[in-house]
Amino acid sequence: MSTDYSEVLPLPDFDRELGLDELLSGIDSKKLGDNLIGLLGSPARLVSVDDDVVFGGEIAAPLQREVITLELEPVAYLEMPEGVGERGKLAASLVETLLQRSARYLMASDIHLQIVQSDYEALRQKHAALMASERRYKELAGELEQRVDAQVATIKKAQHALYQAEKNASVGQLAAGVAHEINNPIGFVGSNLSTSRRYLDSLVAFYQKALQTKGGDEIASLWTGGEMDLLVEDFHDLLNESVDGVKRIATIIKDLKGFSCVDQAEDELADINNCIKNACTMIKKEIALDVSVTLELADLPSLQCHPGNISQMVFNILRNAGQACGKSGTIQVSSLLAADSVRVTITDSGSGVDEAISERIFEPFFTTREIGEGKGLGLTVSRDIAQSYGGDIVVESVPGSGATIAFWLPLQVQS
Amino acid sequence: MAEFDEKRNKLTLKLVFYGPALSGKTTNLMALHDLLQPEMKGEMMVLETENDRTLFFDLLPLGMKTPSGMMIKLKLFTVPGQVAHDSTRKAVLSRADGVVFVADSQRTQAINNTESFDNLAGNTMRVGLDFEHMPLVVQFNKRDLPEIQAEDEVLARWDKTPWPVVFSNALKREGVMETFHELLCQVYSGMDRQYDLKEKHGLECDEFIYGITGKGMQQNSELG
Repeated sequence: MSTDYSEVLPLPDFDRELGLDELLSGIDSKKLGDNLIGLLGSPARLVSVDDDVVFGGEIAAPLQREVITLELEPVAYLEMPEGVGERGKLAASLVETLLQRSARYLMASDIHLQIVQSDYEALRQKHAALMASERRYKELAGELEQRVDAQVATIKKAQHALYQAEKNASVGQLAAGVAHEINNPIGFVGSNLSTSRRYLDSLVAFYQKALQTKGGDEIASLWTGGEMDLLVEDFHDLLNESVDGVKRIATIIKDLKGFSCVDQAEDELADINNCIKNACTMIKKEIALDVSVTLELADLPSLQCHPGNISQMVFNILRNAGQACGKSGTIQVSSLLAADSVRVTITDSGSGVDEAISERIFEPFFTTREIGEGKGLGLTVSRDIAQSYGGDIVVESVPGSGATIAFWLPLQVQS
Repeated sequence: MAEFDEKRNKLTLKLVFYGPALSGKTTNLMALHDLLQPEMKGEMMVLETENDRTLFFDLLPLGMKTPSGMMIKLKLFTVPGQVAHDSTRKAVLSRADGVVFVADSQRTQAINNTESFDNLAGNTMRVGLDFEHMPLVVQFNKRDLPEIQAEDEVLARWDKTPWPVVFSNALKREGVMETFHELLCQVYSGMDRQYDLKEKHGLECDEFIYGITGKGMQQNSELG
């Protein structure tokens, strides 16, 4: 494509007045002159209307002058000595015919060039239009690809949200079912254990009274022989431990219900700090004892949101932080109120996030854990939740010295 | 665009016979060559292919002198009618001072006539001429053939246009002079405005037409 197609030479109009020079181009005028002189048998010369001699030399006066006409006008004169007569007219007619054929050829070739140039120019313009149209189609195709990508992303996101909603719903249902099923037996087990403790006290009181009766000594020796003091003491401990256990079960069920929010399906005015606390309570059961979690919470206004979602987001981040810390370390959770948003940062003293993967940690199913240990959905779900309220989540990390994950939620959250 | 050569005191005008293929443009020119008896008449130049189809153009030069001594030269051209030769038509049409549109009266040619007329309008503008104000005569040729559009029909259709319609049989030399006469009238008024033919050169319209057509017009004097 190195040729410059824009270069178009100006062409003469095919129907212009043709000069004698042009008409004689391609004709050997000396030969023409020799032939004419030979035919006439006398000197002759051809001069233009401007008195330029085409062939022939000086001829002594008086002259016979024949006009050669083309397109109504004289173009040349054939001159010879007076007295040549009719043959002179015939010779002039011969030259005239010659020049007419020459004019015909010149006009045909000139219009041919004009046509070729015009056709070529038309072709060039068509080509340019075609190129432009091709470019436009390419752009459209590119746009289409982008649109498809965007649609695919939207569909993926929707699928993800659906998946998460389904998961949340099933976890919620399971939690609700478990809570309901366990609450009843744990209720009567707790109640029975309290009654049993009272019964044990009654039995001990009964034994004290029996010692005051006639056979008291025998009863005492039998009691001692049976090591009943130790047994009663241990019995107390067993019952107390069991009551504690039942209480703990009740607390776990309460937390589980709160976490899964089975009772709170709609958005409500939620205290973000409460959500954080809730998640911290839950996470302590999952992380090592030597990992300490400290909270530094500012006063926050309530936000219109689903507290279960916020708890889950914090929980997911905390679980990652806990796993990064391993057996020991610290996790610091802080909340603060910015001009138009609530910001929560969770910093751990764990292994940090490699720069190479920091871009990917929010991708679904991306995980650094061994197969079976993590699904790679925790941070994805967290990002989805933050973004669903019009906020976002970011990671900042210094590899080897811990990671900070921060999310923010606008004060006017978009439902 | 008329060309005025001051040095040679000569005004050259270009008149073009346009129209669909085989409508009789060259026949018109040949008829004029036979009928016209102007002061000056050149050889007719015909550029045709073996089967009588115009290759590039035909050319008939005519001329006359005004009382003031100025020469008026008319170059009558035809164009090739076939659709494929559009570039040739544009080249011939450029700088035209008047056009005769030769239509084929046969019913089967109605669409070709329309397309060719649209092509004329388009090309006129493409070569930079003002189609609205260009001298133009419409000629419906081949009136001797069967299966032709009736005169009423043709006139009804062209009535709303500014262009005169002439019916002709160019092979029989009928209507050719009338067509040319109509065109010369229109050309004269344009040229008079531009070159003061009457005031400066003492040339009236009738004299102009007589100078170009000569005795040919006298034979058709009842049409003048």
